[in-house]
Amino acid sequence: MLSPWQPGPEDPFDLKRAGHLCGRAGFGASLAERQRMVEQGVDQAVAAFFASEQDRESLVEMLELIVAQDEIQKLRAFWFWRMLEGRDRLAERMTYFWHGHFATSNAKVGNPRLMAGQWWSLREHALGSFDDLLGVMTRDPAMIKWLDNDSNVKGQPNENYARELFELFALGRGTYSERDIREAARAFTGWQLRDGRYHFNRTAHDTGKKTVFGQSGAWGGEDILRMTVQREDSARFIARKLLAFFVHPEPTEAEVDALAACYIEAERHIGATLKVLLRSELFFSDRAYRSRIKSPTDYILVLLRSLGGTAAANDLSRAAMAMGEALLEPPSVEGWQGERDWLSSATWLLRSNFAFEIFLGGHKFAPDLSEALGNPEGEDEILRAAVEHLLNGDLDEPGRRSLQDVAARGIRPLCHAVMIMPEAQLL
Amino acid sequence: MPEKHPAVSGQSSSPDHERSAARPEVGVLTEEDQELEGAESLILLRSEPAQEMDALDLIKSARTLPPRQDPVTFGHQHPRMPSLTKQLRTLILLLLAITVPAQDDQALDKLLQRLPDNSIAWAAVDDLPVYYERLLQTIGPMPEDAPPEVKALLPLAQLGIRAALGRPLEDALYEVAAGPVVFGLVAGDDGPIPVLAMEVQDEGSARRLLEKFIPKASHAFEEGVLLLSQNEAGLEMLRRGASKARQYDRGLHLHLDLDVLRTEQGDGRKLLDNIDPFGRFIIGPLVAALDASEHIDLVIVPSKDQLLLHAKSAGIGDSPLADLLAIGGQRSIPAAPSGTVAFVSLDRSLAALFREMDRVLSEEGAVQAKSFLSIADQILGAAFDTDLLAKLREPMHFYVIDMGPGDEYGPKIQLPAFVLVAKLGDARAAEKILRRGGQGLFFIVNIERGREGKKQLRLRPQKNGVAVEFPDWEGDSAPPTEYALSPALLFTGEHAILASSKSGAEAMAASLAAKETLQMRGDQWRVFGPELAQVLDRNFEILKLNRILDEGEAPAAAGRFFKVLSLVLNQIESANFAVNLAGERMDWVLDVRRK
Repeated sequence: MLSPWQPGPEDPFDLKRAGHLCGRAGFGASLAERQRMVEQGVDQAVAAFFASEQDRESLVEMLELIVAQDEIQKLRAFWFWRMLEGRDRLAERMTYFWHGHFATSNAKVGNPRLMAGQWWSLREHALGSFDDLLGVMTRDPAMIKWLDNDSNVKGQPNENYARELFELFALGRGTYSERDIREAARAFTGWQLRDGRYHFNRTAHDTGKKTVFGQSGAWGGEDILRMTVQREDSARFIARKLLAFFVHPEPTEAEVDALAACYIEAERHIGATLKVLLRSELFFSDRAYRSRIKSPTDYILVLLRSLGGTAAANDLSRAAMAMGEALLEPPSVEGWQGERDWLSSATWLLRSNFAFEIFLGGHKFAPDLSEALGNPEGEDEILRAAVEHLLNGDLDEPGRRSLQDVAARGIRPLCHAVMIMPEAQLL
Repeated sequence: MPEKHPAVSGQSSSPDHERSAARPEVGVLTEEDQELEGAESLILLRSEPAQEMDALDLIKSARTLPPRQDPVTFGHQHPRMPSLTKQLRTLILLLLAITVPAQDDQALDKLLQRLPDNSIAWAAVDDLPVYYERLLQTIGPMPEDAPPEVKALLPLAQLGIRAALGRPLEDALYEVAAGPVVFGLVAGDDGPIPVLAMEVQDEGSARRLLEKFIPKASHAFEEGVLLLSQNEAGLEMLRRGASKARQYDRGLHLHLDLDVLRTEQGDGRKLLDNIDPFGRFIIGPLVAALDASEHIDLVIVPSKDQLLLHAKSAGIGDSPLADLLAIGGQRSIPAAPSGTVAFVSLDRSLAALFREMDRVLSEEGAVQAKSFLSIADQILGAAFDTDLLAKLREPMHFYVIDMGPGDEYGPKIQLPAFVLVAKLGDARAAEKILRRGGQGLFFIVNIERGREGKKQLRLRPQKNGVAVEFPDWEGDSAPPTEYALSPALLFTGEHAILASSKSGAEAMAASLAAKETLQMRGDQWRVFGPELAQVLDRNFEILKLNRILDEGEAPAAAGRFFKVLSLVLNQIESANFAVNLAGERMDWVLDVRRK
């Protein structure tokens, strides 16, 4: 199932497949970009997602300007802007993924500077070794504040971080014991903050013998991290999360086993694992196609990128917040439940209102649809263009018939109608 | 001695105030003045004998503009612009509308008669082609040091206009417009209807442009006059015209009929009802005057290096807001220190606000004011209104001072200093209360910082006050913006200075020690263009990034925006907004001076 997908005359790499790739590995792409991908072929299209094009230095400078303002909304808007405009689409996508994985909220951290530092670490390690990423996150000042490791001291261990490390970050429920948590927490004693930076406080560290996963020794935090990532459960846990994000919200055990093996073979390197996954039969399978519900961030960004448009990132990030996704302020350490939880009568209405604002409400974005969609004439042509741009050209006959009346009212009402269809809520 | 900013009026008490000495106090030209000089432009001059010379100079300087040309003779043979770059001025001058003396009063009267009685607002220009020509002359050439991307805007804009019109803008203008133009907003059943009446040079050309750009608009030509409206109802009203003649002040005259606006659009509420307590203190008297006015008339007057916008409204009258005025007449304020970006001096008394809060504030606003007082009293350990404010000599004055670039290890955002100056009545008692209040605030801030795990601030005694110091920054990147602050409270004997930075407070103290003052009356808001441009330039990257995020602009466009803004500001020596509050009539004057 992880074998490279081979397109053929019956199952070509067409706009639909290119749209699927762009939606999952990035945040959508314009029709022109998707057409170019189709021309280049699937190998080159997938490889392009791994080519880094970012100007790292200028990004650091901009982030410093954001940090200087000490406002979490500025950081949120900046991140949205990167997701909307950034060229490193997969890196942006994976930063978003890891934020949901290592969900940390400024609501408790209360320090945009630390949140920016964590965001940068996620971005820097998004496609690298999971071992490195986990180590960086364990020492991350925002994480230390978020999970109270600052108060984890010898004699009075605070188990918060050790518990979430096993349950949410690296292993998953049912793969460890309460004793493992208690002992691991002792290993992380003294991993604290000083002046807003990670500091190993020797006097607060418990150097005694600990037994974790049945192995005894005077383990330190590094040892616990190493022992954790090397467990097969960890590989299956990470594989399951990657599959749920890139392929299907409910991966099968066989799929998990296959990707876990690939992940282990790649020495837990995320980029190498994704290179296999994004090129695989599984990724391009019908099972994967439109199997996920767009998050608010997906909904907003895929819409804008599909039209090659831009908008005020500040407004966009606020719109996502209204729809239930306040980046940098997840509801809990478990992050967002996502999928069906994204849609309710209230949030669907908010999505509709957002699309209305974009197409009919005089929003700053006010896309020049004649430029984005060309100049289609006649209801059928207008309908074809809208479906091609916004739904990868993939809408069944009943769906098209339901749009006929709206098409008669013009391109803008039609685009709004398309964006409130069930198909437009799926990724 | 560092160079000071010019005084607002010409009455600086400092003998070396040469820049300010040439500045007239803005006012209204008397009839006698007009007859004496045969003034064609409305020049604003207070009719006090000591200032007559300034006013005459001002009139003369306006006359130094090139002579006005008869628009009829232009036809299609108008002179070409000497260089393309000059046309960038068109973009900039959209900000700075100017006017020219009337060519034919009767023609304009005739057009004004076209506007129906229920016109909410109208604007009249006596000679559109000449107006445009003068506009370009007033802006002057593009600065040599303008950034290349800004210079490149001009040909782009020109191409765009040429593509849209099929010819250069000035060609189209001279081809179509014969002279006077009147634009109005007329009350209609479904909201205001925009209408226009204009004498046309070439009916055919005008008709072609209308059909190309606004084919759905209703229009008619009557005796060489184009009548244009958004719909037929508006056109019919234009045809019927007005039942009464209108007064017209020469120049570009804008008229807003507040009575019609209230009748047609308002719901009986006054503007003042929508303003919170802070807003009432700052602009309450101005808004009260608007509420009492039947109409506002704005005249825009150009001269060689100056633009005056003068509006007239009713005075505050017997509104309770009149009680907020601290002086009501002429006063002196401390001269602006070198590097001042802007200052604000309002003829307002905070003590009066609290004393008369039940009269000048809404019921809800009075409750808010009382709760503020209870907190302020706790911090000060004394009554904010009866103990502290009573020991000040209001009004207070606010300055924004650029202290130059910070060091390279400082915060990324380089803020100017924000300085509040108050003259003291009972200096000893006021100083005691202010010092105690400052310490109370400092204590509260440190408690909050402690709760957030931040290092404590230090309170350092100064020779004549106290200043707050931030702890050393030990982070990896540049320190947060708050590290640009060093709040200070200084006393100079006669004045108390509260500033966001110690250096700003010291600069103000030095200015006070020099005993230089500015004379003024009413409310004054002044901005100094080059100094503000420097602050913008220094924070260019962060402003650009915020514009990208807030406006959705591409990086290049966001950068260009601030480069153009900086360029424009660098051409404006100062912009002063003054409102003379006292008396039966209120004069509002915006005075923009070019470098």
